Amino acid sequence: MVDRIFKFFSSLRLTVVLLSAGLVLVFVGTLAQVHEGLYQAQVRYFRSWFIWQPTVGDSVWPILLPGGYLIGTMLLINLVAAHLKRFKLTTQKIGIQLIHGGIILLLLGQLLTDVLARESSMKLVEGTSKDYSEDFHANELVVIDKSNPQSDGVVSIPESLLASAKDIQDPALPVTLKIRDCWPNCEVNAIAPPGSIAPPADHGNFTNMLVYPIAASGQNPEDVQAAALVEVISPKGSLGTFLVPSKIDNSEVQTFAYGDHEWTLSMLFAPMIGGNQLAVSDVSDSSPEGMINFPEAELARKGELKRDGLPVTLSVKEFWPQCRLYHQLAPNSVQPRITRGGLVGTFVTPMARVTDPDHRDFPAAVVEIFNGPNSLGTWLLWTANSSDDIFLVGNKPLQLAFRHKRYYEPYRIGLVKFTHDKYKGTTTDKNFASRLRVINPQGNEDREVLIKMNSPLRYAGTTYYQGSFDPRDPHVSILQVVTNPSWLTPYLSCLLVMLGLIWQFGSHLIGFALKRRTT
Amino acid sequence: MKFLLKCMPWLFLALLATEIIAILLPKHDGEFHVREFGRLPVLLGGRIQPFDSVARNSLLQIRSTADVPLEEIPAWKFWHHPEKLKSTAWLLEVMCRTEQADERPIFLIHHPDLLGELKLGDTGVEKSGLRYYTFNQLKPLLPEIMEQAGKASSIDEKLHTPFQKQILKLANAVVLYRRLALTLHSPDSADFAGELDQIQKAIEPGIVAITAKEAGKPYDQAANDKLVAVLDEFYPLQQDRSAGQVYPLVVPPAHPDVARDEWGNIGTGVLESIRSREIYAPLRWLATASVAYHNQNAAVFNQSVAEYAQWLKSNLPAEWAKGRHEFFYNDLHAFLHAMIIYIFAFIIGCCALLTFGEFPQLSESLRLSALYLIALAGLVHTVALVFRMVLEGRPPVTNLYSSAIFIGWGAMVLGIGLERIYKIGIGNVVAALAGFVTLLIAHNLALGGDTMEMLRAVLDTNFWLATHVVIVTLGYASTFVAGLLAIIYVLLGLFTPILSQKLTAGDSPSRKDKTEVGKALAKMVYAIVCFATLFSFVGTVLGGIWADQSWGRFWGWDPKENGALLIVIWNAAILHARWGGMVRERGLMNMAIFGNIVTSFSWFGVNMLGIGLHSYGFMDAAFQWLRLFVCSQIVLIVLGSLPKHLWRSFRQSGTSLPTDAGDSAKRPAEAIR
Repeated sequence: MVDRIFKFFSSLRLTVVLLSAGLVLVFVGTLAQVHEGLYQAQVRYFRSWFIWQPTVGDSVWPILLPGGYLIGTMLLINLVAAHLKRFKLTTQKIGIQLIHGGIILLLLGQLLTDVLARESSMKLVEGTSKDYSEDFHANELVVIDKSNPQSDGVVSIPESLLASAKDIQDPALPVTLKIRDCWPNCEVNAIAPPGSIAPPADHGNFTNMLVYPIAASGQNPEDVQAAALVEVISPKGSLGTFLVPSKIDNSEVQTFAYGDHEWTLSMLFAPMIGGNQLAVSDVSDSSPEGMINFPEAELARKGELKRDGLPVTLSVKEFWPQCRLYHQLAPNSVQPRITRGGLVGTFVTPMARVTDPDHRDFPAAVVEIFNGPNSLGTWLLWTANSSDDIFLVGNKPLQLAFRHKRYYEPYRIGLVKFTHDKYKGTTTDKNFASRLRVINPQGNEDREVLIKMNSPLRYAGTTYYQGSFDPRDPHVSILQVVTNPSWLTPYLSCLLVMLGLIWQFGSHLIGFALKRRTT
Repeated sequence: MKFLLKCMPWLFLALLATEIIAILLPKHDGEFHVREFGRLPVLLGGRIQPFDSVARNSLLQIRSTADVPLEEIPAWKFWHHPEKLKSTAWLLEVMCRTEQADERPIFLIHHPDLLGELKLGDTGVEKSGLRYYTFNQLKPLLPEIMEQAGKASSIDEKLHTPFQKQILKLANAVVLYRRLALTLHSPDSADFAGELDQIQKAIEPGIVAITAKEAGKPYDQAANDKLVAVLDEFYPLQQDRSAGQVYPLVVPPAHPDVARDEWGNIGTGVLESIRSREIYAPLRWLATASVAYHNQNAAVFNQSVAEYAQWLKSNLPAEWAKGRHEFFYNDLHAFLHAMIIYIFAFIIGCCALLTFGEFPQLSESLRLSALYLIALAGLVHTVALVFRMVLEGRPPVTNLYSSAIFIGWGAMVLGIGLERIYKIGIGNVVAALAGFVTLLIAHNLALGGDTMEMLRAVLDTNFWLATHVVIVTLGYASTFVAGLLAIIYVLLGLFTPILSQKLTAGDSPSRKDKTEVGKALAKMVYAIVCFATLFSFVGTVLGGIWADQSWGRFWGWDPKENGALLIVIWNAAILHARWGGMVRERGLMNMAIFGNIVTSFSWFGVNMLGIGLHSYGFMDAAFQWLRLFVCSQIVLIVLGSLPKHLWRSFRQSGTSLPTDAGDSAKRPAEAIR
C-alpha cells in the first residue's frame, strides 16, 4: 500500500498532470484578472487550495479547480518523492539533480516569501523622516498610552477582528472596546446643517452637493468657499447646469466642450483684487487670451454673462459669496450615534470594496469604550482621517486611532530630494530618483543614499525601492518597503537550474554531434 | 542537366544579391535636395530623429502608408511603379506649401458609419476599397469631427465602439496634420524669413525702449509696441505643450554644453534670438529653406539646407550623425527586402521538400538554392538588426515590434542550424517561413508609428533588456520553431509519403543517414523543446529577478509574467510526457503545435488583456489574427490526431512507427528510473 502511494507520488504521469493543471490555472487566473482585479484574482487563484466557480472569459463556470497552493505543494511532493526514488549521483544525472534541486529551492523560496515577506509603503515629503512604513491593505485599530512621552505603549487590533469580535479586552488595555459597527470601505462626510440648499446642478463634479450659505461678515474665514450655479448655453442649446465652487483640487476642475474646443469652468479665489472671479479657460490655449474672467460683482447681479471670444452664454442662476458645501446623503448612507471624537456630526456612506491594485479601501468603525461598566463615549473612526482622539482614563491619556497598519523600525529614513525627469517634449517618464537619509542612532549612523528605478537600498534586512510618486506634489516620494528573508532563493535557484539545463542538454548535444560524426 | 542543377543555387543567390547591392548604391537628389533635408535632425517624442522619420511616422498615422501615391495604377499592373510623393517631400509640402498639401488625399476613413455621419459619400479617392480624403474636403466638417471625438474621449478607452475609435483616430490625424503645418512658420504669416528680418530690425530699438519704459524714462512707443507684438506672437508658441509630442522641436539648443536636449520650436528660436539680440542662425536657415521651398527656389533651398547641415556637423556632431544614419536605415527598408527573399526561399524550399523522394537531384539543388537565399536574407536581417541596435543604443528587443524582428532572427538561426545537421530541407522551410511571417508581423506593427520610441523609466536598463528580454524572446522563438517543425510533420505525414522515407533517399553524398525523415523530425522537435525550456525558464526567472530589483517582488502574477510561465510549464510538460512514455511521436508533435498557441497567447494575447504593468496597449486587428491563428493550430492538432491509417506516410509502412517510436520514447524514461 505504502509502496503504491509512493509510486503514485513519484510518477512522471503525476508530473505531467500537475503541469497541465498548472497551465490551466495560470491561464484562467490571468484571464480572471480582467474581471476580478489583479490583487483579488491573485488571492483567489494562486494563493488558494481550491477555486470554486472560476471566471472563464466573461462567464462563471460551476466547476472546482485546484488552486496554486495545491498544485505547488503537490509538485513539490512529486519532485522530492521522485528524487528519493531515483537519486543517483552519476555524471549523466548531475544535470537533472541540479535542475530539480533548483526548482525545489524556487518553490520552497516562494512558499517562504508568501509566508514571511512583508510589503508596505512609506510616503515621504522632502525634509522629513519616518521610522515606520504602512501596509498596502491591512488596517489596525490602535490604543496608544500617551502618559510616557519617551515611548508610546501601543495596543494594536487588526481590522479582521473588528467584524467578528464585539468586545475587545487586552491585559495591556485599561478599557474595554465594544465595536458597534464597521464598514470595510466607506466615505465619511459632514452632515449638512439645517437651512442648506440643494442646487439643481446636473453636470460636472458637484451634482450631489448641498450649499449652506453663510451670512456675509467682515472676515474671510479660511474654510468658507464661494460658489455659483451656472448654466452654460450654446447656440445649439443648453450644455448643462454646473455648480462652480472655489478652493477645490485641480483634479476636480470641471470642463465642457463646444465646437472643437474644450473649456474649464472654475471659481478663482482672489481676495486681493476684490473678491472671487468666475474663470472660463480654453484648454488648448494657454495664452492670457485663452482665459476669460467675470468678477464677483457681475456674478452677484445674476443673469446672463457674455464675452467676445467665448462662444457660449453663461447664465448665473445663483451666487453665494460665502458658503460651505456638504455632501447629500446617499440612499444607503447611515448616521451612527456618535458622542465623541473629531467625527461627531458626520454620516457614513458604505462603498464597494476596491478591486484595482492602485487604490485601497478606507474602512471605518464605530467604537464604544467602557471603563469597567461606565461608557466613556462612542467614537467614529475612519482610516482616511485618523484624527488624534485623546481621552483620559483616570489621569492616563490614551489615544485612539484607526489607521493603516504600521511597521516600525529602530532607525529612520528621511527624504532629502526627489527627482522625476521626463523625456524632453513628452509625458514619458525618464527617471525617478530619491536621495534618502538613513539615520540609525544605534550605529551612530547618518548618511545619504541615492535610490532610483532598478537600484534599491538594502538596509538591515529591509529593501527600499523607488515605488511611486504623488502627481500633485513634486516633493513627495513614495517608497516601496519590502522585508523578505528569502529574497536570495530565486537567484540561487536560477543559477542551479541554468547550470543543470546546460549540463543536461549540452551533454546530449555533444553526444549527438559525436555520434553523427562517427556514422 | 547536372551542370545546370549545380549552378542553380548560385544563380538564385547572384540574382537576389544583385538586388541588395542595387539598393545599397547611393541615390541622388533631384532639383531640390529633399533627401538632404530629410537627414536634418529634430527632437520628437524625446529622441533625436531625422525629418524623414517624422514624415514617415506621421504619414503612417494619417494614411497608414509611408508615402503618398500620385497616380492610380490598377492592381494587376504590378510591374508598373506608380509615381509617389516620398515621405520627406510630403512633409516639406505640408510645412511649406500647405495650400498644395491640403489637396492631397491622405486622410484614410474606412468606417461606413463614420462616412455616413460625416456625409462624405463618394467624394475622396478610392484605392483598393479604401477611401482617402483631402484636408480641404474635411475642413467644413472639422467642428463636427472634434465634437464627436470629444464625446468619445470622455469614455473609458476599453469601452470604445469601432466608430468611436475611428473618429478619434481621424481627429488625431487632423490635429497632427495641422500642427505639422505650423512647424516652420507662425500661424499669422507664411513668409517666416521676411518676418525674421522684421524681428531683427525690431530687437535693438525695442529693447532700448522697454528698458527705458521700465526705468520710468521717456521711450519710443512704436519700438516698444513692435517688440511687444513679437513677444505676444511667439511667447505662447514657446509655451505650447504639444511641441515635441505631436510635432517636432526643430530648433537646436543654443547652449548644447549646458543642456543637450533643450531643443525648441520656432517660438523658442525667436525668443532666443531676442535674448542674444541676433536671429539664431539655425532658425534663419530653416526659415529661408521653408520660404524657398514655398517659392520653388531650388538654389536657395539647397544652399540653406547645406549650410545648416554644415553648422550641425561642427556644433552638434552626434545629432547630425544620428539624423544621417537613421535616414540611411529608413531609406534602406532592409527588413522589407529580407522578407521578400525569405518568401522566395520558402517557395523554393517547399518545392525542394515535395520533390524529395521523386527527384532527389533536383530536390538537392533546390534545397541548396533555398539555403543560400536564406543565408542572404539572414545576413540582411542580421545587419539591419545590428544597425537598429546601434542606432538606438539598446539591446535588440525594446518593444513588440523589435520582439517580432528578433523572434524571426532567432528562428532563422535555429532553422539554418537544423539544416546544417539534417540536410533534408526542413530547416530551410522553418527558417524561411518564420523569417517571412515575423517580419510581416513587424511590418504591420510598424504602421502604428515610431518603432524606436523612448523607454519608460522602469525599462530603461540595458542590462536587463540584454539578459531577461533577449533570453525570454529566444524562448518564444524556439517554442515557435518546435511548433513549426511539428506542423511540417503533420502536413508531410498526412499528405505525402516523405516521413517514412530514409534520409538517404537518392544518392546525394550529403545524405548518408539511414534514419527516417519522421524520426529525424521527432529528434529535432525534442532538441528544440529542450532549448526552449532552457531559454524560457532562465528568461522567466531573470524577469523575476529584475522585478525583485525594481520593486521588490520576484513574482507578481502579472499577465506578462504568467504568459512566460505558461511557456515554461508547457515545455516542461512536453519533456516529461515524452520521458514518461505518455506520448509518442505524434503526441509529441501535437503537444508542440499546442505550444504555438501558448506562445502566441503569451506574446500577443496578454497585451490584449489591457491590464497589468507590462501591457503595451490594445490592438484590435491583431486580436482577430490571433483568433484565426489559434483556430488554425487547433485544426492542425485535430489533423495530427487522425488515426494512423489515414496518414499517407504510414500507409505503406504502417508497422515501423509504433515500435520505433515506442522504443525511442522508452529509452529516456528507463534511464530516469
